Parts: sequence; structure tokens; C-alpha cells
Amino acid sequence: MAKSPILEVRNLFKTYRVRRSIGLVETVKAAQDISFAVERGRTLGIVGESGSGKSTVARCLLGLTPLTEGEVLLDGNQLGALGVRKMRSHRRMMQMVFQMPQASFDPTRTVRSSVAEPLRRLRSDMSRTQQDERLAEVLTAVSLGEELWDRKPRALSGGQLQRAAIARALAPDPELLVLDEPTSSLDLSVRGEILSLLQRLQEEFHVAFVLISHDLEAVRVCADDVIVMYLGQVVEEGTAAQVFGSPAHPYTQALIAASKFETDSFELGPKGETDPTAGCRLMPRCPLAEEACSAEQDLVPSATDGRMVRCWKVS
Amino acid sequence: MNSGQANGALLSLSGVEVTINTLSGPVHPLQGVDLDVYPGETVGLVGESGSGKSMTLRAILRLMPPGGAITGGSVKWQDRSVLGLDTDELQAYRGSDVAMIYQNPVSALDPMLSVERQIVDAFKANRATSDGVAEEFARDALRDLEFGNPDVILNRYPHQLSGGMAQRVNIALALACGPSLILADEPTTGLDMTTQIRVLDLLEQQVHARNAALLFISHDLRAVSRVARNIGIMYAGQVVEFGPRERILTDPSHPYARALLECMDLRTGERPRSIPGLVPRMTEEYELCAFRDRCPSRMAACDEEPLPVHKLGRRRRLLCHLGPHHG
Repeated sequence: MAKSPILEVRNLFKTYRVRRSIGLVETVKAAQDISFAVERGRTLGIVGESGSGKSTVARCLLGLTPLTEGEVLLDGNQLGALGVRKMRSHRRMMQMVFQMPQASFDPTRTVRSSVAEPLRRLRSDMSRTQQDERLAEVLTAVSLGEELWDRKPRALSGGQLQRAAIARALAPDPELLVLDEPTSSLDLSVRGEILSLLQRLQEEFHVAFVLISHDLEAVRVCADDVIVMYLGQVVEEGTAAQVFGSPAHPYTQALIAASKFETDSFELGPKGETDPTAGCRLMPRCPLAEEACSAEQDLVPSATDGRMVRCWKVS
Repeated sequence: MNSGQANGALLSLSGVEVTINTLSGPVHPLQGVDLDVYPGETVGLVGESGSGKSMTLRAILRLMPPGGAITGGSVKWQDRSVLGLDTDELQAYRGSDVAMIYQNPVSALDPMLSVERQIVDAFKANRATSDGVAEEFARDALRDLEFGNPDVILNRYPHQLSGGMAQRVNIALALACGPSLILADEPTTGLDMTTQIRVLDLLEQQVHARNAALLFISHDLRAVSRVARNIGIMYAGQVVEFGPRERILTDPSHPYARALLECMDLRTGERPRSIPGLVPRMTEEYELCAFRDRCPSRMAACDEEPLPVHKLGRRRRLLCHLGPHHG
């Protein structure tokens, strides 16, 4: 029997109710009908601009916010249906690395004590000695010099602290790491260090990654598969080679051109004041837009290579 | 102070040093910054966090943080020392000669005042003129900045603007003072990729249209190279290499600049590259090259002799024992 994917998301919807002014409540569809799967040891990249819903998806995966509709399956088990005790064992399987390492560490505790926390909480099956061995193993795996283990977070550089955050996430031996903009707050000279560390750890520990980033270059070199989101919808989904090699959706094309600062190639109109709630969400900004775009667009496989695209003009 | 001298630099920084006294001792964020900006030219400064790029802008405006002071070198505006200006002169210099655009566009605006009020106030602060003329300017400026319906935007408050809109309003505010030089501190860093380029292009267009000069700083070399003709690379409180954009982007000489370009260039199937080691903490003053601990081309002279300054042609400068790269 083929092993199930480590993570499967089925038809995830998330709507927020936002109070705009007195008596006016709007519903924001932050994620609409999102489905994807991540195989063991593989990396899924999620890209999109702010407001695209990529962080909403991350929060839903981790159970930090309830889904409005849909299912998240971790290793074949539906997350919402688990009791407290079972949820704990699933927490061990899925860990998170945040954007700002400085903000994700307790400033009053040593790095060692913060990195040990998930081990103590989630691996009560291990003896104290086993936990301490595991702690040393992960801190060494991220190449954090031993002289820094008993320092406070403020004594570490951004890059060192992000390595400690990765060690902390790896400590309970998870199957999946959710990485939310793991290099965005770091300097360019350190970005490569963290990205190559992630690649190496994936080979070593066979852990799957969900890599959420607006750094398209980082996603291009790290991800196996990519989904591109715009205003809560997936607009394109395929392998990294497909999406970055020959982007199909106009939004993907514009995003990739913008990330290379090549605007002569494909430019979107300005961001809208109010976004459409029906038809193609990109229509007001899209240079290819025509009347037929105001009909609801489905995510369908493209005729050429089977990747999924939400645009009738290119699929 | 508004007419530039023939062939003279508008702004000239020479050996600028800044020291900040903190509870844990003095910090030296600028350790000899040399930089010239000529009338109407666009200059970019690129550097990582702690390299001193924001502090350079602060030194130009004489806006020092608490405990901080300019402790060496000179800042000259059209051959006049900025460090010698009295309070009134400084007030006139800030704004009407040199205007500033900040990184966070929404917090740079006054939340209590409408867009129109803010632009009109900035316009009138530097000229004896009527509200009518100022309002006319505000409307035209917003139209130049591609607001389809300026009247709607003029009546808005900062919280009703998106990041990209707010930054375009900040550009209008800077232009309202009629400066000869605009300083921009990471003006597009918080904006979405697709918005970023539009704001950069509008900024560059408007600066050119008004014959002003632009000094643009960012950690992102690509953003800087979109607007700046000449680019300086900062490391540890110094401009370690300065030259034309094409040169800096394709064949810089300083090992740090070369390493940064390699870090930008991510390739599938290859491990991403980084620069080993840490950025110096700036608690000491460097006699020798501050990059030598991380430098792949370190040689004996780097540990023994102070940094030489290579002047290559009219604008190219290099602070490195290796000398210019020929390759």
C-alpha cells in the first residue's frame, strides 16, 4: 500500500468577519477552496503578495485558527477530529519556524532552554537523558557553536537565532515543518546559509517542508512543488520547474517578472481599492482581461503539462 | 542656498564619523564615510543591517540619535558646512534643500491630518504663498504620481491609504518642499513586489522631472539599481566601493561586493551561497579593513596596513588592498 502524504489539505475555506465601521461588517474570504498534498521529505512552496492568504493557510494547518470549512489531514488523520491527547502527539509531527527569530524566543531564557521546551512538552516518551542527547544532536545539526547554547537570544545574530529556531522545530522529530518567511528578516549574506541548512536538514532527517515566502528566488531553489495564491485563491499549481520555468497564469508571470525587477516583460495594473468578489479576482489589474473573465474561473489542469491554472485564457 | 555651483557637488561627505554613547560603551556606526552627490544625479547606497546606511542619512540631516554625535569629518552642502549651521539655517536646510522619505510610509504621515492638509502645510512652510496655490500643487503632484482621482485622495487620512498609496503621498510631501536633494531610506521595503517597482519608477521620474538629486538607500541591490546611476556599497560604517551601476552590478572590485552578488544568484541544484562570519558589532574603531575576517582574498597587508583609497577615474573609489579587479 502506498503511504499517504504526510499532509493533505482538502477544500479549505477560511472567512473572517471584519468590522469596517459601526454597523458595517464585511466577510473577508482569506482562503477559498484550497487543496494540496505534501509528500514525506518534499517541499511545497506557497507564494503570493500580502493579502493573498498564504499566512492564513499556515495558521489553519497548525490549528492556530479554526477552519470555516474543509479538512486538514496529518498522516491520514483529520486534525479537528482529534482529542487533546492525540492532538499532542500530532503537534510533535508538525512544527513551525517563524519569520522573526528575535520575536519567537523568550528573551529571559537561554537558547538551550528554549530549544529544549518542545522536547520536554511533546516527547514525554523519552527519558531526560535521551532528551538531552537529542537536544545536542539538533543544535549540532544546525551548526550552532556550543559556546552559544547557554547564551540569551540577544547575544546571537539574526542568522544564528534562526538556526536555533530551526533546531527547536526539529527537536521533537517532526515529519513536517511549516516555515513562514524564514529568511525575510535576514540579511542577504545570511539568507543562503539558512536555505542551504534547510536543504541539508531535509536530506538528513527526511522531513517535509511547507515554505511560505514572498522571496520567489528562495522558493525556486528549495521547493519541489509550488502553489501561487492571489486574494485567497490558488491561481497556479505545479512543480517548481513548471511554475518558475514557464509561468502560465498572468499573476504568476507578473510576480516572477517583478521579483527580478524586469517590468518591461509583464506588468499588472495598480492594486485595486476594492477587490472583485466574483469572476477572476485579478481581472481589474490584468492586461489580458476581457469580458469572459467576469465568469467564475476554475482551477483546471493545463492542456500542455497538467499543471493547474485558474485562467480560461491560458489553461 | 538653492543654486548649485558649476561642476561642484551638491552634497559632499568626507571622512564622516559618528559615535553613539550607550550604557554599554561607545558604538561607532560611521567610521569615515566619503560620498559625493552631484546636482540632478541619482546615487544609491547598498548595505546590510548595521552597515551604517541609515546613519549616513541621519548625518546628512544632522539628526543624531540620543547620545550620538558627528565626531569627525565634514558634511558640506554646496561648499558650506552643514555642521556649522545654526538652528534657523538648519531648519531651512532640512526640507527646502534636502527632503527625506522614510521606510514606513503610513507612520511617516500625521494620522490626524488629511493628505491635502499635510501637503499644503509642507508646501507653504517653504514659501510665502496662498492656500489656493498650495492646493493646486497638491492636486498636480498627486496626478503626477498616478492617482487617478486626486480629489478623493486629498480628503483621505493616512489610515485610509494602502502602503503603496501612502508612499506616493510621502513622495508628494518631499516634492512639496522643492528640494534639490531627496533622501530615501528603504522607501519600498515594506511594499508588495508588484507595487514596489511602480513606486520606484514614479520616484525616479518625479525626481528627474524636477531636476532634483536622489540619494537612495536599501539593503536590496536590485531596488537600488533600478533608480540609481551610481552605487556605493557600505560595510562597517564605510563606503567600501563606489562606481557606476553597470560596473557594480557586473564586475565590482571589493571582495564583499563580489560575495554579495554571489549570494543574490541562487541556482537550482546548487547550495545557496552565503558570506561566512558575522557583521562587526561596531564597538571598536577599525584601523585595518573591517571585512578581513570574512574575506576570501585576505593577504598579509590586510592585517598590517591601514586601508588604501583607490581613486579610479572621476567617480570610482575603492577601499581595498587588492586594488581594482581586472577580469
